[in-house]
Amino acid sequence: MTSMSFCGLTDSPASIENESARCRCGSIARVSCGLCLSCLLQRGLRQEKPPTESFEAALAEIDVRDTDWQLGNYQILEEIGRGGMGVIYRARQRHSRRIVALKRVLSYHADSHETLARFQREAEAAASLDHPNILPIYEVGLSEDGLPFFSMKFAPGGSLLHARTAFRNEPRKAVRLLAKVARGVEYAHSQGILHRDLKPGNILLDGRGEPLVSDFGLAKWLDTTTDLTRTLTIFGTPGYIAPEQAQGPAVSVLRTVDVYSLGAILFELLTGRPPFFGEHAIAVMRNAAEQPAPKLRSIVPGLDRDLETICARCLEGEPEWRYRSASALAEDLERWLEGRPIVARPVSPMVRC
Amino acid sequence: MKGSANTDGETSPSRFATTRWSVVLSCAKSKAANDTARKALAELCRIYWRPVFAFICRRGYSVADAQDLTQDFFLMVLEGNLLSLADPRRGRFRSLVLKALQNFLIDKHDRQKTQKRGGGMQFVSWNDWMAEAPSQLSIPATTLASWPADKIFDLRWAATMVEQALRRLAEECESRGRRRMFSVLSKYLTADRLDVSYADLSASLGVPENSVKRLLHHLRERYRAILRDEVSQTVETPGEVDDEIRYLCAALATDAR
Repeated sequence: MTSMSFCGLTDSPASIENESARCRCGSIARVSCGLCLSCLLQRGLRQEKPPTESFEAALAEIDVRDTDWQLGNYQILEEIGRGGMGVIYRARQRHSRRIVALKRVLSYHADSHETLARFQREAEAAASLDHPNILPIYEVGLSEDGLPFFSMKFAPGGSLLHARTAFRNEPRKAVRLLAKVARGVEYAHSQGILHRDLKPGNILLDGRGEPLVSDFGLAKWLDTTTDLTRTLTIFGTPGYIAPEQAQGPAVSVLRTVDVYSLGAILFELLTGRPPFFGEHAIAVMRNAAEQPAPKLRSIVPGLDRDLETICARCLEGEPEWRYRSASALAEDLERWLEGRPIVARPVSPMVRC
Repeated sequence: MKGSANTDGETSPSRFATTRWSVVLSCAKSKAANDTARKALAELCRIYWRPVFAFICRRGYSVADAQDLTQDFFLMVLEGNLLSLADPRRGRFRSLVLKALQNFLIDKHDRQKTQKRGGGMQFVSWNDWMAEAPSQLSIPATTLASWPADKIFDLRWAATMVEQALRRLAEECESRGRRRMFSVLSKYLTADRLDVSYADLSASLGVPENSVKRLLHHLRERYRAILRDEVSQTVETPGEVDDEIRYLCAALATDAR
């Protein structure tokens, strides 16, 4: 569920989960930038000595104007995320005053044509998608320094990465959310676009907790094989990518790689841990390639047997044993929600061998 | 959303006659329907919906029910029933909202089976609000679980007030082309002198250290003025601003060890 489930207290669910350090003043509540709420309140108490110079006068005298704090038609408000390739800001569109998320390539990637081309492709692919569970792209542009950027819907609920613990012991909520995500992914597949990096951090939540799949940065047109995709190194996030995807770009991947990732996300929402662990990224991928995924109920015995079957079906090592499509997965999840029999059947260990 | 504030934020009796809550109260006392009072109340409600929502959630309602009840509560308030639901004697906006809310929930509980909620009316636009004014309040889960609803209400009220002041300060800086300065310096609004590396800030902003000191000092002063103005909008007399701040500080400090 969304951040709002945290007693409706905040839009920042991750922070609810962690013990914040106690301030010197003894208070435990914090707001933006980790500032202590009590100290900020205390700052409001009257001071005997009124200020001698106005704020306006000081600003006029000291030149600290925003120079790199604008991008195209957008005023940057704050940085909200940073990845390997780009940085994401909360920004305001000048004329409409609309709040958006703005993603741009980091400047030190500017000399990499490959990165720029990939970034441009991400924007173009994602901008063509129109589905209630896919984060809409508003505009693709170039900044004055020639770096591409794009603006997207701002998702105030943050990502599933931060909200995932709210789904523990709430299997119906988790399944309902995953079914919607799977519908969004299926739609993208129908448009010829794979995601290839589905993970909790790429599933954002709007103000009502509705999921929005973001970051089709690794998406690749199904019906084309460009130089770009051939030269790319391994994409995806260990723990969520399918074993065949971890073998590298030489292996052509199918839409079942996204089905695998959806299963890994569902697994984590239901059990509180991803299906595979490892000391480092390579070890995680090796474990995923060499071992079958653990059974859901070996971790949380109280979960429904059908959910175990659904997860196991998604996490099959062999792509042909998985659900054939994201919609097939969505349909089974919806059947489970409605109390109807699911279609997936457990694959016996004999068959697996 | 800016207050009908003066710019220095300090208070005088004549200015206080126009703060939002005093307008609402004076109008209620004279029993006169007044558009200005209605607008003032609506503005206050738009800012302070989070404490109401958090209180209802903490009382055990589902998120969906809490959203509906929050909408219902504000619609009822704006229809003019706030003072009839709470103690009609004068009070601060915060305490009156809490009392009215407690009575509202008792009333709703009694009529739950016969009355359909929602009615399709929306006062709080969740998505718009959370995009425009996201809250980053954080508190340890163990503390959250142990605090009663009225304490959660006070916590959320204090955070709303402070975050509203920070937002106004950020907007002021932005309107003067100083958003980046705000972004860099606002982290140090409450920092002790020894915890601030003026050399680093100087390098980051590209101005001498002395200028950084001046800017930070003025940013703090401006923040104080704006926060005081925000508080003043919810009380009736100037003397109550410091009392209200102290009340909220005390409410948050109860569990300090």
